[in-house]
Amino acid sequence: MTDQPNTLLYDPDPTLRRLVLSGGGVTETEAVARADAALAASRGAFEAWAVGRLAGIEAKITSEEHAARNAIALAQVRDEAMLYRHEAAARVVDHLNVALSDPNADMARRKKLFRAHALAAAHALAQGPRASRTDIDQLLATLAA
Amino acid sequence: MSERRLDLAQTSVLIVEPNVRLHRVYRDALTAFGTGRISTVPDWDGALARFTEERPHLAFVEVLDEERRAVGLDWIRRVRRDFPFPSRAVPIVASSALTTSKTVCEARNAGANDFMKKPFGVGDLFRQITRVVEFVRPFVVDRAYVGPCRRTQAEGHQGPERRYAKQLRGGSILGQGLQPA
Repeated sequence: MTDQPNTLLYDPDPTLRRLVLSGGGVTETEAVARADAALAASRGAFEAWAVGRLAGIEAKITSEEHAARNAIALAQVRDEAMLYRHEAAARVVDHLNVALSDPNADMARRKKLFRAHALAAAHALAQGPRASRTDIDQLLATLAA
Repeated sequence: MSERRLDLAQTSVLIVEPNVRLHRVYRDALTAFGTGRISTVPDWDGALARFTEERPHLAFVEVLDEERRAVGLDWIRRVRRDFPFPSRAVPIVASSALTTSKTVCEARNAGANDFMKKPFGVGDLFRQITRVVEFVRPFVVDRAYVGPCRRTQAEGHQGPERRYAKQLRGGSILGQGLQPA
């Protein structure tokens, strides 16, 4: 036994705080407005890519392995959609991942879920960032029934 | 209450993200925030090399690889254990779509400062940076754990640790020459 303590606490490195809280810079409102403006230029290209990606995903479901790969592709669409403020589309794709994790869903059911969610997400993307969540949810419920 | 201003012009941010399509979006958003230097890396081994070279002030790290292995957590542990100060104490935000309490807990125990759920918007990204800057915690070096102090509150405890937690939340403990526990 020694008297040496097992745990040491250090003052955190203040560098980041000192650099960032200088009083200048941007507020959250300003930062988000600037980011939205910066992303506006590439939003159209994303929407075209995402719709094509969703269509491609839907056509490929032939096995469990494909389903797993498709889940990765879906996650890519979802994450990018959210950053482009396509919240309704991102939510639909996120919801699909949850639906597919149902162990009782067979391949036919999964195909149907994929198709329904892909169509609903494509519809949301076509509507733009202001797409209504409620409308998209209703569309999805109809397609997935 | 006025909004907090962040001046990111002199900061360097590292993004470890296997989805390379997101790199451009991160870059555009962080550039719009005024970030000085942004590095994006698609793999965790490459990220260790980049971390060594660039010594970023902040890192965002995806937890899972495409086979859903938690390689991002190993990356955080390696930074915390293998790097010297001050690099080992750089704020690291773990990120993942898998947000079970187990995953979040594992990220915290690996030494992540915070956890950001995917998908997130640009506002979430800015708020996360604000949170890391404002919520500064002592850095712990222990045989079993290296990383920011995980104690954020001590509910129901009446001893000195409770007062310590309150001080911690208020930030008043900073710069007071913390002693070994």
